[in-house]
Formats: sequence, structure tokens, C-alpha cells
Amino acid sequence: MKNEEDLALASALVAGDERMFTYFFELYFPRLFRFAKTRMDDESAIEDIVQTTMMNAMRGIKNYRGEAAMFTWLCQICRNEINQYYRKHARQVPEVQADDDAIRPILERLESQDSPVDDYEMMQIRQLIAEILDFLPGRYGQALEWKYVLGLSVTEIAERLDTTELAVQSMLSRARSAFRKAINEVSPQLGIPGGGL
Amino acid sequence: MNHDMNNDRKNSSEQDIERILESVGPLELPPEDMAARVKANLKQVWLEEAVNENPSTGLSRQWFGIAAAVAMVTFVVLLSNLMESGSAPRQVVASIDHTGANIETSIDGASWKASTSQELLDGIYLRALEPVSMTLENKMNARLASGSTMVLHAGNHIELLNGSLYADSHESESSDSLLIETAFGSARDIGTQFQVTATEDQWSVQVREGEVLIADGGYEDLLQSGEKISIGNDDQVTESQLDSRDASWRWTESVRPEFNIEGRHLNEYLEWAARETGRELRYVNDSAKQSAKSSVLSGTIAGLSAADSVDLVLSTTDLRLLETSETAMIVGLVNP
Repeated sequence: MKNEEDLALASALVAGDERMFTYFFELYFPRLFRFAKTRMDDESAIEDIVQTTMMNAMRGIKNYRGEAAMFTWLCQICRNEINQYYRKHARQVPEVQADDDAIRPILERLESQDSPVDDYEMMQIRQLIAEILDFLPGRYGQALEWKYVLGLSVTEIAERLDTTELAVQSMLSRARSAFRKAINEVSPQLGIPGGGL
Repeated sequence: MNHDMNNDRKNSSEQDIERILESVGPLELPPEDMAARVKANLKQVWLEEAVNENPSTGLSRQWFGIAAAVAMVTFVVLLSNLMESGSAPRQVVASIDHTGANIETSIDGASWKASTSQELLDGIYLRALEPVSMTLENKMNARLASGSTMVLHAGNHIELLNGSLYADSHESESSDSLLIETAFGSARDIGTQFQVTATEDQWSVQVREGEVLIADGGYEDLLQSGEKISIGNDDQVTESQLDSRDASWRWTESVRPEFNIEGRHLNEYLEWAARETGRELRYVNDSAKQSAKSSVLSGTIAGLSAADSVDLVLSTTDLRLLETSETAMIVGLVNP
């Protein structure tokens, strides 16, 4: 299935729409930064990796066909850049902590009173949840963060997105569904048998 | 059930999401100076290597003249058409899911004729002589009950004149919500399966899954799964509960859109079958769930109801339907 909204964004970029360039950068730069950061142990290289990723994507934007979601496509380019970086420096690509089996029991332990989650575990669970939010379609992850982490009202979110409160209600409902689905997908890794939420 | 739009009523599932997100806190943002540097460099690449040159800059004077002439002729023809019709060209905004659907259509609501076309233009009146299923332009599914009449104003806007209309936004590809209006009030989906019914003296909305925002004059309410509200033309409001297997949903099962199982994973099919029959899908353990995710189906279930197809489809896999209750389908491995 084609990703029509992403294709429309690619077309707008090719057409020179500056507003959509800003939208593209603000939507994907923070996500790619987090994506690269969880996969690299050399923080000084992250800026170069993400910048090169976005530049290569921009050069190839005319060839984007919408077979994969825009962020999935960007992550593939970013993975290649990371692999090249480690090959160039003759080093092993570090294991991705967010996919590590070690984090399996962490989610259900988040609220455990018996043995509180330590800082390291909390860092890992943060990375996993951030990854899930970043991979949700469109601006779902951002909407969930605004609503439930920053505590913005529906009205405030509607103002930020320049849309109606009804559209935000709808987006939040779909975002919750997508988040639940994603959590349930990874629930076996998290030690929550039969689904998480 | 009165509702303030800025204060969502939170069910337990929403509270779970809120607790998890609160626990992990805000997402990490890149430093502002880094963002500014990367944005400036990226913008340069964008302008120099990604943006198409203005196609008119390379045109010769001769080609420009021809293009201008063609544009003028096109403009005159379009203007002429618009003046004749008095309105903008109509567009296909939905399609009937089955060939041979027994429907009548009208362009003005006065003169009706039997229709064999599967394409539905905006502004068309549609009368169902038997239940009919249609896919709206954003992939949302709508089903019109036998004897019901509606006007399709747009791909996300339906006016129900009488009868019942069921909507399912599960497959929707857009964040646009569907607005269903009646003579009394309107219902807007917020990711859901729901049904609106309009008669001469009242209208009602019932929610099978998800949430629906309703408005009737100054009255607004957010209905959730299992809730039904009826509002009469005397403003009498009646609230009740009904489960997802209530008899009032049953007609929708006879006109479901086809689900093509070829190449689909078993878990996708089971989720669809569970939704179609108003049940929750449960796996007895993770092994069963993983097996469903990794099994790819082939063949067809054309002509079978969702409920009837489950045993048939599962018989070709390692999974079986262990129990079907009023509320759940429980699936497990043949050889645990």
C-alpha cells in the first residue's frame, strides 16, 4: 500500500514548498537524532550521521515511491550511514539496546513497588518507548507526548497543529490505538504475555 | 454522559498509556544549535539538488506560445462546461463493495432510478433496497441498511435521511473523521465502529467499538463502546447500554466488504473476523499468537460469513478455535 501522505510531502519538497521543508525537518530531525543516538556509542558523530542521512534523503527525494513510510525509508538510509561509519573506523556496530532481550521485564516493572526500576533500566525503557513513538505514523507520537507527557489540552494541541479540536480528538484516538498495537507487538519482549494494554 | 471536549473521559486503557508515557517523561530533543546547523546545511542541499527547476524557464518562445494557446482553449472549454452545469465537476468519493448491489440513486432526491454503477459521485442520493456496503475515499467502510436513504455529500460527509447507517473506520488511511448528519443532529467518528439510525421522530447513535462525538443543537456528548443514546424531536434523551453482539448489529454482517485472505497473515484475518462478529480475539498463549503472526494464508473466503469462515480458515493452519463466547474468540495451537 502506498503512503499517500508521505508521497504528498515528497512532491511538495520537490516543488520547492518551503513550509513543507520546515515541516519535514521538524518532524524527522528529532526522530532521526534519537534513532542514531540509540545505535551509536560515539556521540560526537551523531550530528554528521543524521545530517548526511537527511542530505542523502533530500537528494533522492524524487525517487521516493512511497513503498515504505517516509520515516522507515529515512531510518534505512541512517542505518547504512551508521554501518559505513563503523566500517570506516574498523569497529563493530554496537548492539541496539532498544531491541535487547535484557529489557523484557522492564515495562511491567516500571510501577513495581517491590523492586524499583534503576536508572539504567529506566534509560532502556525510555529508549524503547521513544522508538515506538517515533515509528508511529504521521504525528501520532508527537500528539501522544504533548497530551500525556506535557499535559497540553486538546485546544492547545489543535493550535499547535493548526487544526480543529475534533481533528485532534480523532488523531489522539487513532494514536492511542496505534500505540497500544505497537506495545502489544513488543509485549513478548517485555514479558507481558498475551498483550500489554 | 455530558462531555467537555477538553477533558477526555479516560478509560482504563487510556490511563495505562498515560502512566507509561508519564513514567518515561519527554522524548530527548537534539540540541538547538545542532538543529540550526543541520537545518541550514540541509536547506542548501534541498534548494540546489532536490527542488525542480521551474519548467517554464527552459521553454522556447515558440513552445511558450503553443502552451499559452492550449491553456486558453482549455480554460474556455472548462469555463463553458462550468457555466452549463452551474457547478464544479463532481468527483467519485466512494465505491460500492459488491457488484449487482440492489440500489437506487438520484441526483435531486426526487426522481430515482436503479443503478448498476459501483462508483458514487459526491452529492448523489442513495437508497438501499437491500443492505449495501461501500468504501469511502479514505478507505472507511459504510453500510446502509435495507430501506435506508442517504446523501453522499463528500467522502467524509454523509447525510442520513432515514434508516440506519453503520460505519467502521478501522481501515481508514486518513485522520479525517466521518461526519454523519441527520435532520436532528450529527455524529462524528473518532476511530470506531458505530451505527446511526434516523426515523421521523427520533435519532439514535450506538457505538460498538471506539468513540463517537455527537451533537444535537447545543447538546454534545462523547459516546464510548457499548453505549447508545436516542434523542427524540421533543429533546427527550434516552441512554442505554448494549454489547457488541447485540441483535441490532447483526444486519451489518450480511454486507461486509470482502476480505481477501490471499497473502495475508493469519493474525490479520482473525482480528478482522473478531471485529466483524463483535468479539475480542484472544490467544491462549504467546506460542499461538506467534504462530498466527507467522502463518500466511492463501485461497478465498468469498461467499462465507465472517463467523462461518473461521473454522474453515483455521483448519488449514496449526491453530484452532477453542472457544467462542458472546464476547470473545479464543484461539490456540492444535498441538500445544
